[in-house]
Amino acid sequence: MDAFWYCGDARLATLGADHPDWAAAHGRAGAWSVVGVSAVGKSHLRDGLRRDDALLAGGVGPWVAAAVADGAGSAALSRFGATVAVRTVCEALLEGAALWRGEPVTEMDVPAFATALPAACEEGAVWATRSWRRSVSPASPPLSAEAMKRAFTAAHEQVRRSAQALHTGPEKLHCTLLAVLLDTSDGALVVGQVGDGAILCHTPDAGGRWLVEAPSTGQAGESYFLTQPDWEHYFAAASLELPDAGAAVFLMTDGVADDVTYPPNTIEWFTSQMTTQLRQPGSPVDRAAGLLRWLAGYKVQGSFDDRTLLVLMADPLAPSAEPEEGEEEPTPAAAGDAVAGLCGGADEE
Amino acid sequence: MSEFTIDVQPSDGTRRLPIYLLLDCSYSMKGASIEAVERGVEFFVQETMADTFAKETVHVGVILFGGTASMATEGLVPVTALTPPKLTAAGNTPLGAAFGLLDKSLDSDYRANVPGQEKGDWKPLVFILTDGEPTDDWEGPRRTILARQSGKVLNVITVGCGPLVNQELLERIAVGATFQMDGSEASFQKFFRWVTQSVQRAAKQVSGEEGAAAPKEMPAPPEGLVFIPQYNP
Repeated sequence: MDAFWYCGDARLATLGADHPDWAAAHGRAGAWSVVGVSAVGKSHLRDGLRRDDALLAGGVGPWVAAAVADGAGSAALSRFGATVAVRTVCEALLEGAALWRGEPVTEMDVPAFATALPAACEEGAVWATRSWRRSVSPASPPLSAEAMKRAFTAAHEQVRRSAQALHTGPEKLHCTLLAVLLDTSDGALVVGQVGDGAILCHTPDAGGRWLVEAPSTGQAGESYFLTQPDWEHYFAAASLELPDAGAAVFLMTDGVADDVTYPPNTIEWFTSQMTTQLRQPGSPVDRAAGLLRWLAGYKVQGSFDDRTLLVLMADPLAPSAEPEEGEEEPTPAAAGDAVAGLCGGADEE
Repeated sequence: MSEFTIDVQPSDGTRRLPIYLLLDCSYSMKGASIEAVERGVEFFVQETMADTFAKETVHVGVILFGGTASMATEGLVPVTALTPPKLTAAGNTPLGAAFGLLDKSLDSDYRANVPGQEKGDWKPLVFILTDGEPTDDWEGPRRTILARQSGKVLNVITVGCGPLVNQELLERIAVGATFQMDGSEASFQKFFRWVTQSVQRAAKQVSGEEGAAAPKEMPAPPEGLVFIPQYNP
């Protein structure tokens, strides 16, 4: 069986728990790599507030799930909502994918998983888990809008339960949610979104474009949230297939989307430049650190918000998912290997 | 660890916080009142420039109404480029024409937010300061502004000042939250200090993701500004 791996922001669950101000994570599945970074906004630094954004990536076998969430600045515990949302949606997507494939999870190959981890895992933001809570096979294929909506429903419910556990209302945990599930064996994926932010992609043939457009309030600074009772009205999902080579998917909270999606031609330019530069030679850790330096350091007038960016890309530098002739087939856990957190902390539970 | 450098410059478009000042310059403001308003605008500009976040986002439109109504700025200008206008008190009180200019500027200068298309502005904040009864056709233009306010695309604060403004008049002409104060220089100083604090608060809140909700959490008005309940015909 395959081990589930996760990297990114640990789930916050108890009052007083805090985020790191800057976080980075990276992972790999087959020929796809994922790198995610998050930086506290200038306004939060000024006001002594924590980062309210969260990011998480995870994998099992050829599947990679990734999510970002933006905790509302007006909600005191929104970072709790954001971390719970990204964790739950990734778990639900990966569990659904593994179940659909008919491989019940009964144990973890811990030694194989641990061997695959780079030295950076000593930082503590990487974990593996037997994350099964459901034993019934899902009713729809994992790469469908229905499956994505089911995962968002799980996240919505879990955030509301977290609010109860914290003895507060769900509005105090208001957060957006953007997620993707990718099958790295064929480039097929499904994306889902509630609230602001952006999910973009770049392919050599079609350039940069939006993958999904969630309903918007039309007002700057206002967003719909996963935590709303009627969140389903504002949910949008899309399925598609990306080419094996040269494709990249970008998930970002509005702190980044505001800076790279206006005017419209900026998307093509940004996704193209970023895809090219992320493919420079370098270790995954260097790449994550470089992306975090960029994210935390770029200057745009009036850009004060938390920034979170997560990139999945078909990576020519990554080892192929298919073993070369004569090459030993990797262990399932090692196929979902190379998970690292640079600035995170262990899961808070 | 080797240096892995990303060099991608994001778009430089700014999401603006529009602030409109509609200032009564009619004859009844002559003397100490108009001088206090002039100094008040200067104070507003200086203090807003001193706030890092407000300085980057605040764009100002100044509309003067006294005898005629005119836009003293070319649409919305960055506060860093705003020269406080020289004010002269003369003529009657064409508040309706001032509402018309505001409506026109909102149509032409305000940028609506269209995800992926245009980086829109934060919700505009409008301050109206008047000391007398309007002398032109103001009811229609007021309804137009009122509709924008009701549609939650605008936040308006009306302040009546001086002995000619009473509660009944304010109830009829006001848009949004409404206050009354006397016409002393001290009151004008307090008013512009409050405007400045409100704008700084709004800039702080939009920079902290609460943009549209910002004006709902304005600082408490200073002593001497009396709240007038909203009149909704």
